[in-house]
Amino acid sequence: MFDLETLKQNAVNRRAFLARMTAAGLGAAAIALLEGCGGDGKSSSTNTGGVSSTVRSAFPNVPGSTDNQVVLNYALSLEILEAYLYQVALNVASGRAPLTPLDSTPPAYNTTGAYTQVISNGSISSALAPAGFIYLVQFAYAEAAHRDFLRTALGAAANPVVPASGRYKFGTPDGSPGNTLSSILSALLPLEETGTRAYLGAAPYVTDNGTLQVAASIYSTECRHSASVEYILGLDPGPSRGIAGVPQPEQEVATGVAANVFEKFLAPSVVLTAVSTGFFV
Amino acid sequence: MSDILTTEATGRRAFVRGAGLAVAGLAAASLLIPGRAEAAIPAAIPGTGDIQVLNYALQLEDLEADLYFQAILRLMDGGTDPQAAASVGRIEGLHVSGIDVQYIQKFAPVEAAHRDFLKAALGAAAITSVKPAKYDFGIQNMTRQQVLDLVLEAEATGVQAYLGAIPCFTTKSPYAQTAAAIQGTEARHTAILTIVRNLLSVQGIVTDPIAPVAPLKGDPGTTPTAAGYDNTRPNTGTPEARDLSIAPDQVLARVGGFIKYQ
Repeated sequence: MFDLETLKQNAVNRRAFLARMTAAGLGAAAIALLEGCGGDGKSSSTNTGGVSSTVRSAFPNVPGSTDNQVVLNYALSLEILEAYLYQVALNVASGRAPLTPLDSTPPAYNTTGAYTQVISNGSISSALAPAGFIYLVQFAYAEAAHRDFLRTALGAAANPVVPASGRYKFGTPDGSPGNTLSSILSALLPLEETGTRAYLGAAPYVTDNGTLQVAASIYSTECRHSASVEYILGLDPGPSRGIAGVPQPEQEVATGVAANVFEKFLAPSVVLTAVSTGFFV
Repeated sequence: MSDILTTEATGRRAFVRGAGLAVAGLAAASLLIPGRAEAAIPAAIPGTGDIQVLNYALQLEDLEADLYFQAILRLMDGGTDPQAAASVGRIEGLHVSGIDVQYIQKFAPVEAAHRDFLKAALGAAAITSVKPAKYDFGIQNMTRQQVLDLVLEAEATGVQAYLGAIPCFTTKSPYAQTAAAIQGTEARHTAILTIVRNLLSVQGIVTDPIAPVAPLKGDPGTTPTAAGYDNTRPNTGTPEARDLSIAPDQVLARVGGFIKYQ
């Protein structure tokens, strides 16, 4: 495990951290985030004064010593949840035990590596199912990369909100993803859509644009994931209002426009409540 | 599986024509370190601070909205776009139908709404906005695939442009969240148009819509070049976990050839 303080002072560790993040496509983001967290002191004026009362009340019970740490711990909490459930979903679809760790080597671009779909397609056509399974594999690794990236960048400050049991369930009636590709992707979709809304809702609390840019670069991949899964499931690619399983009330950045013009956002407190009641075991 | 699209990627390359070589070095540098000094918005865009960022966004949305308008004319029944440069003239229609036309028609009003929203927001503040512009994308001579490639490239650039503009906002700008709300929709459009392109290609679905700039089937192994691609991660690498940014000056260099100011 890398530690932020060590990274600041130790060029070798810093290089190792960046090399690992670069492998996940997050190299540049890692540099910016290190700085946004006070990694090189340039942003210290916005990060050393403790947590503002605004952030303290907006993110109930999310740990952190600065506003950015609270926001990033919030993001980390959600990425842990997403990565966990994607991992379970991929294992179920591949006939593996649900909590089997991801294969250590990510499948090459556009491939599924050692993962093979063993469940039926459900309502997804045979023309679209191969793409659906590729996306399941690729997105599972992307979410794991987001989680690892945030945890590593936060270092000693990483302190996510997680269930005491360490386990999560899907937002379905029985908490399972079902046993078809369509049921699995349908169970994952509300997570992705909640993720987009959570990042956008957290944006106003980030105290510097470097950190905001990094968060936004993760956020729009969640938008891609959402739209892609929706396409495979034959749904509107959004942004849409009132998606089943997405917490309410969702908010808009502007009024009087069609639903698909702007992404929606959710207040952190709404997300935290929905996640702890709907997804924690 | 449809085979109506060829594997040529010429339309995509057309988007970076004339801009690529000049900014190759800059692109490589700034992709590695987002948010540094080169992120400033060029003086050609009026205003300062947040207003200038919004004008930058308006310039791009104006271009994108008109591209969609011209793309629909080209793919469908043809016509004359009032915002097309004089060099375009009447656009002859290809009279095609399919999921490319379907989604381009679906996304066109979204881009127009982004443009109108930004224009109204700036107008309400009586702010000088970007100069009225007309556009020539060369679309009147494009094939069906070239049209789709161009629209896809524009959306992908849009995502990267919004990301690249974030450092230009004032700290804790009230507009940053709205800009991000647009960025996300452009990411959705990019993902869907990538899937559409895969479905229409002879090779079938393969390209991963998570890729920030999806490598095109038909040019596997092609060395990504300059403005259109990320040189740091070849197509065979690990899956992308984030979107990439492009600094405003590079975006404007890339699209400048299409813009014909009045």
